[in-house]
Amino acid sequence: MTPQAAAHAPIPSIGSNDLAPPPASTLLHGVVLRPPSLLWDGVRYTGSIQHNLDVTSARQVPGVVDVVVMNNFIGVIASQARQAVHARAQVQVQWLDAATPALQAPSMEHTAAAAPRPNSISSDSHVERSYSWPQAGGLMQAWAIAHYAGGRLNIWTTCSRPDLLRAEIALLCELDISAVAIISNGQAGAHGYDVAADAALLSRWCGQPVRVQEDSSAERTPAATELQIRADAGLRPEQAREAATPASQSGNAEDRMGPRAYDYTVAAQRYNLRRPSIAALLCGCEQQAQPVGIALPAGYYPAATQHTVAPASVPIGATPDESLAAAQVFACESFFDELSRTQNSDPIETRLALLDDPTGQSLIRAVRDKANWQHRTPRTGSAATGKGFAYAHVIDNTQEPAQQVWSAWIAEVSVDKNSGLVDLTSLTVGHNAEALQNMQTPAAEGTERLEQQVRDAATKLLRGPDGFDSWGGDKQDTADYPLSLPKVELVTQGQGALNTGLGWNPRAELPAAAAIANAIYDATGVRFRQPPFDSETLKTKLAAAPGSYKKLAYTLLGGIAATVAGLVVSAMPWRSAIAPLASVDTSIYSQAAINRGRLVAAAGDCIVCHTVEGGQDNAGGRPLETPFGTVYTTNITPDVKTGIGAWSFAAFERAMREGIHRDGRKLYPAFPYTAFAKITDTDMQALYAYLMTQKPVEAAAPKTKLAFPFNIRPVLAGWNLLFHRNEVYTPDPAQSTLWNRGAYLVQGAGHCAACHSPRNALGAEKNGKNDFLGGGFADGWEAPALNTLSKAPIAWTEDTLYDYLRTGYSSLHGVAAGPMAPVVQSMAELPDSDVRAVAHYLSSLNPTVPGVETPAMQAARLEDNSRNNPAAMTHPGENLFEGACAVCHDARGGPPLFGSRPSLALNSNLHSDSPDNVIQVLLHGIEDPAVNSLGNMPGFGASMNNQQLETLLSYLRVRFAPDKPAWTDLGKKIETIRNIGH
Amino acid sequence: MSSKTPSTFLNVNGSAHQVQAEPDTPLLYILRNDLELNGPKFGCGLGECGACTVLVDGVAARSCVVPIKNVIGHEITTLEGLGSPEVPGPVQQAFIDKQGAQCGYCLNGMIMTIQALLNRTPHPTEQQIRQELKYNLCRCGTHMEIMEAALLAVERSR
Repeated sequence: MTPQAAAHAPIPSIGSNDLAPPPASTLLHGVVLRPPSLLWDGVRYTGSIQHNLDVTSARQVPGVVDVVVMNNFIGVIASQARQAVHARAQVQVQWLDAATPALQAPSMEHTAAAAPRPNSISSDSHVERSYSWPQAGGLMQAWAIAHYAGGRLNIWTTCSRPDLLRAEIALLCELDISAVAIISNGQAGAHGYDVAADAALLSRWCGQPVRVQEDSSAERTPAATELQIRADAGLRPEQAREAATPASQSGNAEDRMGPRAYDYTVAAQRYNLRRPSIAALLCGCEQQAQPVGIALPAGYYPAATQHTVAPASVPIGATPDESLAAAQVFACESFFDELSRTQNSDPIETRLALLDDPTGQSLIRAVRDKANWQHRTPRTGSAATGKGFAYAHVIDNTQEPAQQVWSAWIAEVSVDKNSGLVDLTSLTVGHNAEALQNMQTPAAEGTERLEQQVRDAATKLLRGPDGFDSWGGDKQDTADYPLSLPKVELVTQGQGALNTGLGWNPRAELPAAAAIANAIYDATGVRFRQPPFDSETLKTKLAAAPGSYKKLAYTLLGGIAATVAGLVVSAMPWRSAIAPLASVDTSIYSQAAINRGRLVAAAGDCIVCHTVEGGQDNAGGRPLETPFGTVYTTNITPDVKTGIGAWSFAAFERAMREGIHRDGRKLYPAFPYTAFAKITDTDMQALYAYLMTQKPVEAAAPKTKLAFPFNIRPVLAGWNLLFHRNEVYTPDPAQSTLWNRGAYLVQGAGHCAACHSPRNALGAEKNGKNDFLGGGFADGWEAPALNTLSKAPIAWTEDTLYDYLRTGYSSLHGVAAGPMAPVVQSMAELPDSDVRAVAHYLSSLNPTVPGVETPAMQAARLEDNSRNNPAAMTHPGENLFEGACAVCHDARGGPPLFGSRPSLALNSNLHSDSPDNVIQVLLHGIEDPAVNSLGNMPGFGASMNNQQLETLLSYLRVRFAPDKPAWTDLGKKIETIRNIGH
Repeated sequence: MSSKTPSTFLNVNGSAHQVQAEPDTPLLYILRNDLELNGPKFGCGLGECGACTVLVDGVAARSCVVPIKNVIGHEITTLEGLGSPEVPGPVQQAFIDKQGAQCGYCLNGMIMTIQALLNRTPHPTEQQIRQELKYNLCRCGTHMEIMEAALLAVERSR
């Protein structure tokens, strides 16, 4: 079998021993440590270089098999993935950025793109623009298994070009290509190229099967998530201009338009369309093969090839080939439009004049005629509607055989200048693909379906108001944008030969972004150089026009009025009942609204408090211990008799914002309406829609009985007056959308402060300087401070907070247990972007002073101290610890066991002023971890008496938090917590 | 057993077993009582002594403190999965040859833990073996024989 044939050979059915991946019991797990700045210049790696590397403490982590270092590639192999991640956090390394101009360029480009450049040509001979393209990662985290044994390397993964991967890995691992086999792992929608190379290297190193899973947090640096393309144009020498003017060019237009686009040489910065694997770049392997992917043919972009620009470094991202082509077409076509318009020339006419390719010319003409395109002169941006044109001609090398695709788009938009909302009114799309028999889409596609495809391709480029209350990720679910569906006209050419109907190649969608950007510019004079085109940005830019201040003033007045009304209402001791409804018509709620409500409910953890252990979801009855007595939660299913089935939206909203039952009773502030008042109207409606469409459960919750005077509910009217502000969250304009989104979730639906803020004698959250999220108590557990008062031995960062909230575990802090475990479980429903926003906001409350010690160095130092602490070795608790705890928590060695083994030296609870959480965990264990794979901890309440627990606690404090004072009154605390819930 | 008890599948020694049990049930109970795999022993019940050790995805696990909900979808290997009385596995054979047992109660854990070590480090040093067995308790005092057996198993795996 030739190497080529082997790579394309069909996968034999499951059960064949050769092709089944090694069983899980024999697998080792690898993780890689990526440099903070990952760059390449199209040939080699140009990012940060490792320096002063020390992997000693990483090697000491139990379960670690080896730490592999090859040039700038650093990988950890361990028997469990979690151990490998923990060890990676202990790798001490400094990263040096080589201060070459090539390295500086991309970061400067980055800032330049953020601040829009003046939209004029600085000198008449040179124009330069920078475009960026967001990079979508794979749909899921890719994984790969590599097994090197007996001189052969088998790799199980998913990638679009296994033949290329195979050749590259052979080179990387210094093997003959015939010794390498790539086998599909059946993971659809993932890009496993990089993890496959990582796994191959690690397995080749240790000679055992290694599994590597794509790391979601490591590749989320902003630099790696967008692609920058720079285009510039300079005036050509007179002589060259004459020579280059096509003879067929009709001369009459030249006088009218002045200098024309083809008088400029254009150098859209090109990158190789395919990059080698990150592992190969980091190891220093240079690209050997010709770039294969989707290529722009010479001559597609006029004069582009006549001028070469030394490639600058660009971030290495998880880029599938498609987005590189899309980015280049977007940059080229936007740039062409910019040039044409600054020179008073019509983009289509100019293009036709410059294009030598008859196929492209005929397609552009057909589209122009169909769309009734009139000559577009430069716009002042006063019109509300506009048209834009873009064209692409690519060679799709990913097909066998390679295929050429031509495509031309004319987009028409209408823009609402007050809101910045863009309405796509019409799309005219021309498409010509040769070699139809090789197309992925069957040729007999219906026109309707194609039109839908065009609509989808176009509308996903637009973004509605992306404010703090937009539930990211699931745009499909919550889409109320664009306003209407565009009319679609299709022009197909070159498909007559088969006569089987319409064909479609996905590459035909390449010009969509540029066509829309050009149309928006045509309508408004605002140039977008990065998709998606969001209405907020457009609104801000358009707001420079006079007259827009009125809306702002109105908003301010409205806000003040609402505040006043809120105060007046709260002061009234009795509130009237809102009449019950016989039934609520839920048919008016769209699926999108219900889905959105589901996310609001997940962010609010409704189910955690409103479900009794082992009971039906949201049917209430769970006892909440408060300093004033036990409050039982209510049934919030839409049951008419015992739940909220008879509640109108008005009643529901009043309860959520003001804490008043439908019948007019005051609700106890154990129900965090003080936080829920911040939820926006849209979210409140959606939440109502969601709750009212769930299954009704008939279940009467126990009555709450509090001691005098708290049993007199009208007393609470005064409480509200004192402590409650009924105001929807107002975003802080000085902060980013991400920050505001995080703040909205934390302060609003998430009601984090309900547990994590201290309360005053009347049970209201204190509002002093450091009180907000300054630490509190709930259900016998300490809810640690999330602000500057945090006692964590290593400061929390955005990334560690994200890991903790997303996975229930941070290797630098510990696991989510107690009442926090269900919070993490509930948050699992939220998209990554929201968890990221929460982490971003919370980390901003905890500003860290950059010290000389990295978190990894801190962690290593803390663990090292705990290993060699002489005070601990003579402590009477040492025997107890060795017997009961050390098998899982031994920092001095021991076998790696299944599950996570949180480092006690880094544990926030052991460093806290109060021992409550440690006592809770020692007594009751962790039976229900946030994520099952974290593993359980048994409780020792039944096997240790209070005296033993006290000795053990004192030992833990001495050994793992030696700089903290000993806990006092331990005996009493243990007694109290032992009795909670019994 | 009531029909309300949830049913789940566990992958033990290469085959799937349907078991009816609460998700919090310790894995050891299911292995011994339901699947009649009595290699793993009940010792302390708190994960301290190691007599109940099994492999989960090739990694040692104290099955008395691992609830079954944590191992659904994972590969579980017990002492019975390493070999049979007729054809013992290499580590088992080494323990037989070196007469590692006095009462034998701890030997399941010793064998499984050595197996886990060999899974990730094919040629461990004596120091690594000692480290690995540090928290497997033996009260008869056959530590010398156990170490000899472990070294023999390593020797034979070369």
